[in-house]
Amino acid sequence: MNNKALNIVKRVLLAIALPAIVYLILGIIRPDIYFSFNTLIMQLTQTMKLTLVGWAMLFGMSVGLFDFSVGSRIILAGLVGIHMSQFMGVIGFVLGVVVTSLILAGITGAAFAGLRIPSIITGYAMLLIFESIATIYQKKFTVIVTDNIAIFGKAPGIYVLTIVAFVLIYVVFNNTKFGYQIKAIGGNEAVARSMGIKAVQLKLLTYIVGGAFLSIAALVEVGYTGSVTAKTSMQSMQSCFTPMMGVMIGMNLASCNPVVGSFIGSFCISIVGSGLVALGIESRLQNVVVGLFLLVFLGLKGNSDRLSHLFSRKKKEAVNIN
Amino acid sequence: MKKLLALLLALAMVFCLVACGGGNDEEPETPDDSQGETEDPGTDDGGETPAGEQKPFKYGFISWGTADEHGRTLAAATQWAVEAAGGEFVMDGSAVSAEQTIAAAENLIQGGCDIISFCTYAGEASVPQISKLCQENEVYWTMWDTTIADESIQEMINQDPYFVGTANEDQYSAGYDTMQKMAEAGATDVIVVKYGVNIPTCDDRCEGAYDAAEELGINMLYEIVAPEDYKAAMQNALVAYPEANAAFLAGSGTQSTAVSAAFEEAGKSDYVIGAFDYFDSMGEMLQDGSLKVINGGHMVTGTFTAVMGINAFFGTPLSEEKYSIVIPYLTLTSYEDYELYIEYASEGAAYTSEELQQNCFPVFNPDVTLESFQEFVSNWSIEDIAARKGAEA
Repeated sequence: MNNKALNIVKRVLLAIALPAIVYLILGIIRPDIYFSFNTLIMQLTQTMKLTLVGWAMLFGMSVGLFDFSVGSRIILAGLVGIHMSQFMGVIGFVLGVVVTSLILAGITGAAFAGLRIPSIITGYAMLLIFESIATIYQKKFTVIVTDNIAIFGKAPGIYVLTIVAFVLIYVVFNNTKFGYQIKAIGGNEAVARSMGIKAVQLKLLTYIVGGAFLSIAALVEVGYTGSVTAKTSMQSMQSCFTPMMGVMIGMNLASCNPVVGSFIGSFCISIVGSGLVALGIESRLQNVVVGLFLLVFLGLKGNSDRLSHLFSRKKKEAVNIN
Repeated sequence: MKKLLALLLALAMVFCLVACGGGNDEEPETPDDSQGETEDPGTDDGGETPAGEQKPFKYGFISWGTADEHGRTLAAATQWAVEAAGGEFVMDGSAVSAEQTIAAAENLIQGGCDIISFCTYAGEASVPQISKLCQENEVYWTMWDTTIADESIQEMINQDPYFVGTANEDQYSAGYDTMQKMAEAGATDVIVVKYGVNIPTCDDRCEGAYDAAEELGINMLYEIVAPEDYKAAMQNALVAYPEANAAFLAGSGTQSTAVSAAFEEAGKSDYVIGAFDYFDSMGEMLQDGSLKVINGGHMVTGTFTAVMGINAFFGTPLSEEKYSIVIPYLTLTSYEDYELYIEYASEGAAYTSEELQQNCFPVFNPDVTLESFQEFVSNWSIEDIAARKGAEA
């Protein structure tokens, strides 16, 4: 029992070590900013927005799907929600966002499963379609985010939704047949198929379940930014890159579950971005540093066996010399 | 009979040789040449009857689309001029990069457009290729909201007989005036938010703002450039510079809501936002005071560049040289200004076809000159709209 408790403590410490180290470094450089409760809260809030999108992508990414239509789906669902809120208030907003998000996810998933096209291509195609629809649709009404629908993107609404989403996704990912099958497909699709798991159907389901979580992200996004603007020519794709990086870090954090890891990964990216501003580094270099951070992290993680082998060999050589 | 036939054949051969060789002996006809042949249609001498004529045409307009307020009104305002001149309006709204701008130009030219116009908001790299395309296809072209920064490109297009000119706002002065108005509203420590890099329009606005700030003793704390998430970027800047009490948005005015939210969540209620480019919720923001200055209404840059291109196509150019006209912004600083703009410019046509015909096109009014045209353009303001529409400014 003691060992088990010790193991849990060790895993928690390992999990929070990465963001803690990054945060500590920034705190040492700018203690006035980073050793402040308000700054920490702000970073966490920014992270929640990224994580919600990341969680929506987690199911798909776990089975090797890369769907770049996520940003365009948030925009279109947000626009429908805002439009419906002008007739039905908050209920209309929530209904509009959730139903639209599910429909769009279903269409994207059906296109992938029905046409047997690689997920990246399907994502690009759907992105172009959704962006165009959003552009045409936005002209039909005035896009104004009222205070009553903005509550989901502000405290405490954003915290409540994030906690609800966390509980749901944690249970679905770790304690359901669907979650186990995802892990099986992600681990080795051929073996999973031989075990009777219907891979195509399961992947279609990841789109729909991801779409449900994406609706929560869209509710938050609309309130957080206070506006939604249709984008064209794949500009909406940008909004899925950072959450995707967070998920990648999360999936590679061995010490914790990918659900928790995605949050930690997004938190690290948020802190790095903020830290660069605090250090007065030109904002154009921020993406370079965030990209390098990801490369270094994944590079170290991916080559950990080779690195540990290299270090142990050198250690042995040093012992032999002595 | 044989002799007669031989003579006829010989004459036919000579005729063919003359016809084929003619092109080598003479300079190719260019629009400037044809303008020269038809005499100046009244550019410098307003009393003469224009030699050109109104004829059917297709006008190709390139932009990023019509999803936002500025894109929508820009396309509508360009149509005011095209319709006033009796042409057909065709739009390609897919140009968000230099490559896509070139592709849009190709598509419109292939679609039979006689005149095209575009902007270099995605960079100047598209200009040489479009110039080449237009020369090959004998299509007149203009650029709206553009001042070419690269001297070699400017030199190159100056040699292009189909390039007519540009229309642009005085970006530097607009940036300067905006910062001045922001200072009057209480701005002392400012975060600058740029929507792109190496974009002359954006850079000039910022240069004006920086100069005004220096003169007025305003601190320019930090520059955010093209962030993915405006609110998060502003929050980060506010954490690093907690003394900030203002934001200067050099474009993408729609992000004012995100910037305002960042101020509010940082616990600041007394802040100043000055921005460029109109957006949907600016009325509400002007009303509740979260937005102090918004510059826009430069959709008429589309109207007036259309006028320039159409006049060249009609054979009645307003100048023998390439020329640029300067367009003022409609600067809104109150909800009343906003209401006027919405009623008479956004939802209605700020200019009637008759007003445009009488003030912009020599084929309709031979007295129109470049000077009178520039004067007409310079009048563009909330007060001018109100006066012409009989409303109170």
